[in-house]
Amino acid sequence: MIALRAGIINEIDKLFGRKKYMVLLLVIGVASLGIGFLGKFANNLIGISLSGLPLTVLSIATSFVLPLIIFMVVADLFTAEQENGSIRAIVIRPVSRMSIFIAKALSIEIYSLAVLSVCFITSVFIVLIFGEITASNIVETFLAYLVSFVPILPIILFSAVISQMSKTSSAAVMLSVLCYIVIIAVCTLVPGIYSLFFTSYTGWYKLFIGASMPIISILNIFAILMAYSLIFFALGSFLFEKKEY
Amino acid sequence: MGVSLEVSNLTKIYHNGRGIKDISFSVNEGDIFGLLGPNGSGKTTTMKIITGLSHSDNGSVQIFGKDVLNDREKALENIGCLIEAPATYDYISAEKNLEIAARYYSNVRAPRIEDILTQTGLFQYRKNKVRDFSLGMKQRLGLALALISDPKLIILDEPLNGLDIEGMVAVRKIIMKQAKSKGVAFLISSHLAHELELTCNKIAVLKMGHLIKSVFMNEAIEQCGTLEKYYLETSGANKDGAL
Repeated sequence: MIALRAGIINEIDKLFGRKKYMVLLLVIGVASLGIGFLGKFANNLIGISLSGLPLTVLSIATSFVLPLIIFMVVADLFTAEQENGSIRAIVIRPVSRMSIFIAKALSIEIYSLAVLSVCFITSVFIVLIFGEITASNIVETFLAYLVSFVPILPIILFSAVISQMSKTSSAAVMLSVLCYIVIIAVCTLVPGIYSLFFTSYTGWYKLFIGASMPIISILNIFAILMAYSLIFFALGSFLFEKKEY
Repeated sequence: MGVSLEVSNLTKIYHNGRGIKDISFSVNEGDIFGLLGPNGSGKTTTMKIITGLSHSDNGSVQIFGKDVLNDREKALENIGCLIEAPATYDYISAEKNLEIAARYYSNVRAPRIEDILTQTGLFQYRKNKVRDFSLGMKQRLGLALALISDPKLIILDEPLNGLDIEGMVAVRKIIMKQAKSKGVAFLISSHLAHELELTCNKIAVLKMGHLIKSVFMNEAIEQCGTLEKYYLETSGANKDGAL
């Protein structure tokens, strides 16, 4: 556990050591505020109501912004380090490769939570300023943001598998994006298989808002997401274990 | 003196047919053991397997009695290494690089980081990003990363790459001081015979993936006068008509 904790701290340290990831959080915050102002003063123009802003921002974030960010972070923490040899700085330490793999995946999950937190804080802030949200709405919105970390996990591990098969970080990003688009396109063209893929559940937070909560559906989707996570984890950690540097 | 490193029948053949075959040697506490051989002789491959960066086809590596293949984490607890180019994160500072490495060891505290930065002559540059370092400074940082955990066995692959004369002397002093005062064992590879002659007390000659000879340095010097001549003699470079 000590090695895993050290690994997570190290990976987060490295992530925030790169300016682009700090700037990215800033840009997301500004964009969220910008959408809020547009919603208030140009509602007719963009068709976004201010009262539903936090969930609109969440929908945009989980459906395509966050997956793109994840593909970029995974490529930096896995493939780029393998490409430039800096991965050896950790592999030669008294820590198992499995632990290194888990630490990297969890730190990406934590960064994703940071992105969602920025979205939540800025979007709720703007609707609070204009007084268009109630306390119960805030609680419901918070719950929606909180549960959104679950569908992120299989996306991170899916991208980690691709990163192990890519020689360069740019190839890892491109391949991850391409595979993600292909899966979504196939699911759209063949609606019968839509429910079978992990990419279809980025908006599962919708099950947690509203008058009733469909527990059976939530459990089913949770099981699907965990099953995908386990498969991708097993494959990714196996490939990571076999790598030579 | 106890055995720090025991390498037995280590074999690894790459797809192109190159690699190492049946490499065996041992390094005792306080030894400075040199691996001498031309490029492609198998020095780095041997070191990569010892440090767990690569997997062997056959053979075993014991570090203080612990097998690298079966008990990797325990085996790597007491070693520090610098293999090929220094493995550093160039977008963060030298100090941060050392902090990242130090987190994996419960016994390494902030004063140790300062001490190692001073020893390697990097203290005044500790806040600078590694991307701004010269080749020699990166090599010094690589050495600092190898020494950070105060290991009992240190593996250095071509440690003098990129160093100027002052840097080479400083690194040699650090190695000899650690070996004499703390009994740290060193495994050093180089293709520079003169440097190994000045630093090591034991030597193994590698050629085309085979370990040809392993002797004490004073025996090699007694036999041929210099390590360079010993190498040429044992590797058969003269007979092969390479010279």
